[in-house]
Amino acid sequence: MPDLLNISKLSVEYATGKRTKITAVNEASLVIPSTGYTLGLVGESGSGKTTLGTSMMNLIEPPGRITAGSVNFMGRNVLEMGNEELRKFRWQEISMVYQSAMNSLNPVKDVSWHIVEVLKQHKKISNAEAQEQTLKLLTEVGIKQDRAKGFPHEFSGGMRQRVVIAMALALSPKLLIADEPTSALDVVVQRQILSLLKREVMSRGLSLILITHEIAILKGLVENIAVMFRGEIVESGPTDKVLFKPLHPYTEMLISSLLTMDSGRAMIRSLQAGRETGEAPPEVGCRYANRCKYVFDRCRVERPMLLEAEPGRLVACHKYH
Amino acid sequence: MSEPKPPNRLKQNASYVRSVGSKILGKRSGKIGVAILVIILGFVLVGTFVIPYSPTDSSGPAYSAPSSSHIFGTDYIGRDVASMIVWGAYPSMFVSLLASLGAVVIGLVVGVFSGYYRRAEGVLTGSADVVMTFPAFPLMILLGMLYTPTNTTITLILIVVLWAPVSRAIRSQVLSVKERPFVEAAIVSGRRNLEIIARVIIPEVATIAIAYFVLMLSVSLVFVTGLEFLGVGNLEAISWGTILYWAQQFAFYNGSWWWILAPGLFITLFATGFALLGFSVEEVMNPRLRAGA
Amino acid sequence: MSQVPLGALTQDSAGAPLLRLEHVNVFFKRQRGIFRSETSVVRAVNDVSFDVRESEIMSLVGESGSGKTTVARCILGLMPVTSGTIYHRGRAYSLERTSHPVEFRRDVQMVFQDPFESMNPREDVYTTIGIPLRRLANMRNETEIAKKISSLLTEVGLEPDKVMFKLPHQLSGGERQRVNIARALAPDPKLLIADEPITMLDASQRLNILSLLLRLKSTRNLTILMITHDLASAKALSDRTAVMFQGKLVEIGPTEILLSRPSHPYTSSILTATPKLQTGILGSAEGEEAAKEESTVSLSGCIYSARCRYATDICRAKEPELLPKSGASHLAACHNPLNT
Repeated sequence: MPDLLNISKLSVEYATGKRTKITAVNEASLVIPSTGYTLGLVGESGSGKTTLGTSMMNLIEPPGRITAGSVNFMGRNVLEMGNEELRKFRWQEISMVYQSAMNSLNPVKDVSWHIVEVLKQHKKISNAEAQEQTLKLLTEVGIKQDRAKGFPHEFSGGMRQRVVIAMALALSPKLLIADEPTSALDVVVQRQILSLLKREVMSRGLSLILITHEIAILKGLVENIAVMFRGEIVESGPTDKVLFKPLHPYTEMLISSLLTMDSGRAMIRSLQAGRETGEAPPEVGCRYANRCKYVFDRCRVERPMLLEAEPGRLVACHKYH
Repeated sequence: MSEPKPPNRLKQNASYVRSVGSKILGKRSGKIGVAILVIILGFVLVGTFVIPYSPTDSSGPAYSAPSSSHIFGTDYIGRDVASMIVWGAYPSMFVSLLASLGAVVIGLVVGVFSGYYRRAEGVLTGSADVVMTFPAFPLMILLGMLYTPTNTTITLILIVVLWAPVSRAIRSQVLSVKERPFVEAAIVSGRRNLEIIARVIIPEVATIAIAYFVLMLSVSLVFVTGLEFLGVGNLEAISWGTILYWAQQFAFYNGSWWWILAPGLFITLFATGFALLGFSVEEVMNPRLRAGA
Repeated sequence: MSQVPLGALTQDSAGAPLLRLEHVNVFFKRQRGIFRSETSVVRAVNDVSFDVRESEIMSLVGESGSGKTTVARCILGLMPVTSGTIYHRGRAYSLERTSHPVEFRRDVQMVFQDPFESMNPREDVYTTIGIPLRRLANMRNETEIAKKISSLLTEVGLEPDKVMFKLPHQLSGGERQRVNIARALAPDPKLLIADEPITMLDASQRLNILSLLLRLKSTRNLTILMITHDLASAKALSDRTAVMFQGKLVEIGPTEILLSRPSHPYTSSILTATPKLQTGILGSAEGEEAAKEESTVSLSGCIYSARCRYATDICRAKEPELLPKSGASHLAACHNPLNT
């Protein structure tokens, strides 16, 4: 049985000028073995997490370019699919909910129209059937039937994001990618939306990749975490293990610099969170070397590979191998 | 503690200008525009020294077609058309340059003040609107009738018509710049209004002003030659527009196409050249292109 | 100072108020409909009163639409107030935009939310920090200015040699925010208003900046008013916290108490929704409420009543006053407060 999603040594570059380019994703590998597998992909700005998410559906546009690697969905390489195959693949096998989606709804069409469109474009069903399924979906995501004909501007951000989620679930995909779905929303709404996502994922048996910069929301939401830093996956493993016993120094720094309700003034005063530099990562060796408190010689010459440090846990760090 | 040296701002500005310049020339419209202008202006410059004939006195038989001695032929009095084009270029371009400069400066001032000061808005935008409701040519002709058309008055008439669209564009840019947090930060830091206008707002809108200036060069030349062609201008003086005026009177009767073609060609090429260059400048200086975070 | 009992203005003498807001209202008229026929009034700030005491750190907490940023901008004179008074050191001042006297601008400074957008992209760090020194602190001597800028940069944790002449786009997010703080400190203010100072920074930088603010507070005896939507940073930094909801001040009191035993249901709901590492964001199974439309506006009575799960008839009929609930210094505007 091939993995549901197998990303192998994917590299993506962006051309930032006539001659300059940056590597947004550097030989990243990720596996979603089957349906029902939930993963949180966490990283700060510049980590490449959004680029990685976008490339899973082969949506990278110039000046971005996939330069190496493959994205295999149930054995088929997404990056080599033709347009027709891609069209069938997107929405039906994998679909995506992203941060600004709630603002990209068509302002002159009511919310049901959006879902009906998704249904009709991909399945041969009658208008009546599509409307019926749409109503069911809307109820499922918490939008009452009497609001089904409302327009996007009449809804709040959270409600619009629910519409987007309904669109993403309409064709019952096997994998849902959510890229910062709640970053623009208030805390209370964020909780509702994430709770909805979790419920849907569990009841439909989907796989979920949740991309976020806030690692604290992942606990209780996804079962596994992959941490990205400057284009590379530096650690992955079960959520609780990664959160409470991080292996990679970057993960360790992220967790320890978390501001939660438990942090107090004493903690802030004493802790010296990650050193900051505006410098580009070094060309050779480990990309985290300049900021790592455990750095030693080998780190500056040899790039660490993502290997198993404990059963079920991968780390790209010389401390472990 | 070692004193850090401030970077050489002059060098930085120079390299900025150079990089912008190469971007402008990199675009196709920029390349073609500059090429055209080089040819036209080159011709004028070289011709000033090379062409032996005077533009005002007869130097050959009237209505003679282009030949090796008169490359653009002669007009109805026997004056060499080529030399008239060369010498007539100066007043035309001069008026165009001054009018564009005046229009952009006034447009800039009005646009900035009407955008920055809410209270001034009504009067200033109102007057711009009023000017813009009049169709340009009839208005200019009317003004030309009222005030004897000399180079000075024509320049002023052009400025009257051209400043309004510039002020509109600048004003809208000022409105959006005003909303950006660094303007508020400047106020909190103690900067006063005039300083903010001079140091913060104007640098942001200067690029648009420059783009408009280049485009105005094209527009104003067409306007001034158009006016002269219609008879509004000092018809005794030699300029591209007046050449056309006289050519239009007589050339059709004896088929001296060269007399019309030469000035027409130069006017078109001049306007096109600056228009293309202006488009390229506008694209490159589009304020939406900002250095990334 | 006025003796009017104004809810949040407590009578204890823990420190004279450096800043006082009294019944401040900011209303906007909004025209809707195709022909602009309907005019609705948006109450961005609705009868807000509170003090900021000398040497304290206070947080003004609220979500989008709460009015917290509007309050900050009114204090700084960047936005006019519809009615109400703002006192600075006991003196009521004019609320027009740029007519604030220099003494005020020297004393009350702001750190803006967006580290990149609040710096002029064409001016380098030296120029940017030099402006308040020249305009507010009236410094003229170039050498002195350079020295002061260097010391400010060092104070905020930057190396002067490295950043002095850099332009904003050449700095990282954390560096920019530090420069902003240095700029705000340049005229030696007594009150620093920090508008969401860490929201736009990477997670790894947030702690550093908060730690910096804490340090500055003690070395300079600063008073800090922090505007934030994040309860965790409010808890970590502030002595007192005020919570706003849709323009109204709904709860105010000592942070420790307010965040461990909140009186107002709204405070309680954001507390529950703030992610905690031990339990994540979904926390204990607390039956998910049906999606209550977040922008439901209560037309009468308590402004939170439409969303409140504890709302009773009186809540919908009568607007609650901000009154002490548990202790003289802890006030909430609620008819059915929690934890009392």
